[in-house]
Amino acid sequence: MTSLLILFLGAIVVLYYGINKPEGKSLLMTVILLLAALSSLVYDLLTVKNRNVLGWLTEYVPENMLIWNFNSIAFSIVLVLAFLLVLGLFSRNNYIGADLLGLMLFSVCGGMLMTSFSNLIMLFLGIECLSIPLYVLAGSKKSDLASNESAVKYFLMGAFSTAIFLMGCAFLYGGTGSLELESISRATSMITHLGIKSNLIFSGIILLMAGMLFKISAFPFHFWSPDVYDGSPNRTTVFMATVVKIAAFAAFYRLFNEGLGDVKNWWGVTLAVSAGATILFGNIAAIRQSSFKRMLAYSSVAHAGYMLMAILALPQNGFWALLVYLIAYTSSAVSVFYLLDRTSGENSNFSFDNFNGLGKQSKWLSLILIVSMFSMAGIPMTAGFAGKYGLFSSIITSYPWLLYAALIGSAISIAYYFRVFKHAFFSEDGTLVAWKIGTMEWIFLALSLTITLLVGCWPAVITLCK
Amino acid sequence: MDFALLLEKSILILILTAITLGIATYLTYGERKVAAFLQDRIGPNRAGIFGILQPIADAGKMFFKEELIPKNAEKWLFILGPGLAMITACITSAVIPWGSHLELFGRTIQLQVADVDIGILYIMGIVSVGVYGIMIGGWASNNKYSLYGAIRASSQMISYELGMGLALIAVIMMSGSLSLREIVEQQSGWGGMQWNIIYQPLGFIIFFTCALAECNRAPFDLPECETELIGGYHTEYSSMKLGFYLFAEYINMFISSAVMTCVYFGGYNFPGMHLIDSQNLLATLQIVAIFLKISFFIFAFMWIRWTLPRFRYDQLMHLGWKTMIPLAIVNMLLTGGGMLLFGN
Amino acid sequence: MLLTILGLPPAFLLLSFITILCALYVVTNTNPVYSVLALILAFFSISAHYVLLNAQFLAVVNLIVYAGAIMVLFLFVLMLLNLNKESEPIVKMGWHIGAAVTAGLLLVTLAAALHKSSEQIMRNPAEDIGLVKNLGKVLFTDYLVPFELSGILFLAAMVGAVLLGKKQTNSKENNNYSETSSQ
Repeated sequence: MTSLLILFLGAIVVLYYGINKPEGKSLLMTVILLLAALSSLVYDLLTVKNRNVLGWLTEYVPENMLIWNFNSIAFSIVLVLAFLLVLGLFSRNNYIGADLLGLMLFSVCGGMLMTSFSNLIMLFLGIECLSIPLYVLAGSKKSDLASNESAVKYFLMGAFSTAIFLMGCAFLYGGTGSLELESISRATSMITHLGIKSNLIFSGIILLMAGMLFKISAFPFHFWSPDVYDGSPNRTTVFMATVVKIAAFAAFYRLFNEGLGDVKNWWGVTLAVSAGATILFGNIAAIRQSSFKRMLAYSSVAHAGYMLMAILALPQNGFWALLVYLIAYTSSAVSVFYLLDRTSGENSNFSFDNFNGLGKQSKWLSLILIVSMFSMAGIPMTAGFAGKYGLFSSIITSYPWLLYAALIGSAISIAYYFRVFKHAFFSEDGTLVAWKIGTMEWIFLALSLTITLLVGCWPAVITLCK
Repeated sequence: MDFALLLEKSILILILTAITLGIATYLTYGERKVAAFLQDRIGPNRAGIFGILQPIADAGKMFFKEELIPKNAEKWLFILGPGLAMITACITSAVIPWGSHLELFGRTIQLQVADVDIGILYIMGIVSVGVYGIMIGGWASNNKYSLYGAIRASSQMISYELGMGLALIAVIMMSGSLSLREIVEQQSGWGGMQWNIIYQPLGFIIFFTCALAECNRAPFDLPECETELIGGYHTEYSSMKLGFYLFAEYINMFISSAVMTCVYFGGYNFPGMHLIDSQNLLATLQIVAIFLKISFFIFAFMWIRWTLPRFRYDQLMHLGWKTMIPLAIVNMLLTGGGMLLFGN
Repeated sequence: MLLTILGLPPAFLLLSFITILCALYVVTNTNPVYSVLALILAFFSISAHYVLLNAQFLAVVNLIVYAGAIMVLFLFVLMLLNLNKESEPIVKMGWHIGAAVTAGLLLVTLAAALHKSSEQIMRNPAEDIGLVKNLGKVLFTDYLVPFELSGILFLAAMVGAVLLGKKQTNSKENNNYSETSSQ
């Protein structure tokens, strides 16, 4: 909670400070803020067992609004870390003013609310706080029509999904008489024990699920995401692919796996079908793309499908698998998007050809490309493999057919992830212009590479903090 | 609901409507007389003594003039516009307490149509809806000047509504109630002189300015500013439809004066009211008091109109957003601070 | 079924009828200005529903916010765009049918769910929660945290609106880009 306060107040300070100041200073301030929030979160994580992490805020923040337990703190750490990586890699040569930074900070705050909510009102506020800045960020490249289009599309779809989500909340409230996660959970499990099937609660759950599936862009509510990802400025796209995904999955996990876990037989199959369809659809659609950015957008749809398995798994298995997968996906996606951003230069043509000749330019960047792509495809020794292994093993007994779908999807994904190697290493006509990489960027690239390899070789490192 | 109550309320509504319309009619006369007074002229003096029948003649002219609906206008909306303006202007008076209560035929008759406990919010709601009459009329005329007028009116009203609401919040904080009757009753101390204006001078100035803008009165009459927009939103209107728009403006003026009186100037309270024993006499005097106060404010409205030149549009927006709203927020903070320091 | 409907209070029936009629008019009419006006009317009748539920505060706030502010902006934009029948984009019939079928299915499902579970709907724990006093009390005690956080949400939205509304950012962006890249 301290970290949330730091970020909220910090965002306001950054905004006021940045009105007439050069952007370098506000960037530095944001990074300091994030580090402060991160250290506070780590402290909370280490002491969560022994003390109440709310501390002096306990009397102001009732238990029925926010609960900071181990899971939410862990997700928040990943969230802040992801934002730090995005900032480190995507702010050097682009103008990033205090207003954009402030909006991103607000968005991250919304994400943290989503990881720690214990009341549907807080979840709703978190979702809105996360999304509203994003609509603006998606359209922040105002001269670019694609950016405008993606902003409008994202806004309309977001508003629509929020409406569905709210309707689900209303139904659930009608059926259980409460918006608190714990009471809902108690009421639903009581109803199942009594053997009644409450249609009201059931429709509420389905509507909530539809709203959440919209947010994570899973089948059949995925159609907006490729256009939005494609049109937004790269910084925003990577923000959506990492930070937003983390927050949305943390919320999805808490709502369905922890809150409504007792009535899994009501929604499990629906979600499993959606997950399978998302995996297959995302992967098949990604093969056919000629734009690297669009390919990444579809692959992110596919990844959302894999991550949905964690929601279906048993509580603790699901949590660890999801956490590892989120870390794996984030660390590799950030570097891949960085390469995409830099190879395309200033124009908004993101075809595979941009990577022609990357192998000759720099062996370190090649290494990063290879490792990230391996990780996304789930090749052993990388974090992606650890993540996929955890996810697949968590559902192997309950939904074996979903496992087959996921395996087929992973096999397909290798084809398009490796396609970029052809361009990077075996293409003769290298048009790639070398760019200067700052120290800051090397540090963050190295960081993401280390995370990918470390988690890949030794997944247990994640569970050390337990 | 018993029949007598229904009857009583119906009679009250009828009287109120009649008074409102009558006052609006005679305000046109008043306006011309005040203008004449301020410009050292005589003003209308032909119809009746001191020209007292002038408004009746004007109304007659309005009624018998030819109805004109432009060919390219949206006919139904063109007719709906003035009607809406009139309705929204008239229904605000429902929550205003005109006096404490009368005791007639063994019944206690409240001199207020509806004592809802969200009176102020109701007024804000009606005010915020009031813009539609002008917008619809202006757009339906299918004339660029009308459209400009309508757009100016709506943006002006939205902007000044905020300042108005924020100024009212300070009063609501002090009174702890949203009911106009309760707010008026709370100002009856000190022998009927403990008016809110003593605690809220800044709030009153903000509210008064915003009320001027909400009524589209000079110096904020940009929606109909004739030098730029011919007649603004009512350029294409004639006969009684034009009459409705003009009427609505005067009714708005009357009602906002009444609201100002109730919120800041003690409503129907007057000095020495505690000395009167007979309830009916008291109620009558209260009605007189509130109408005197309202007349003063209406005079102030006219006074300002014939004294101050019109604002430019950017100045208007600047005043609304960058002066009124921050001032109102400061006023709110000051009120809160004062309440913390001095207690209730 | 019919009997249950007829057993409802007549005020509710009338208001629901008006609301649904207005809502239908909003989506079927081709003139956007008329649609907006019908939507305003729908908001009014929804406010009346709130009054029936003894939630006067919500009723008036619904009027002030939706009918008074948001719809004015809608109308504003529509009037400036001057949309009419000719400028409406042609949508393929398939989309119409698909949308109608999907929405119809949703309606049937929800109606069935509600019909079957009318007995299970929990009573609202607090009856007079809609009155200003009670609402204010709850808002500033139990729901203080979400209340404060919605302030942050509005701030974010405001900053976003200013960011999108500013004119100069773009040239600045380009200038800055060239400046930093030339260094």
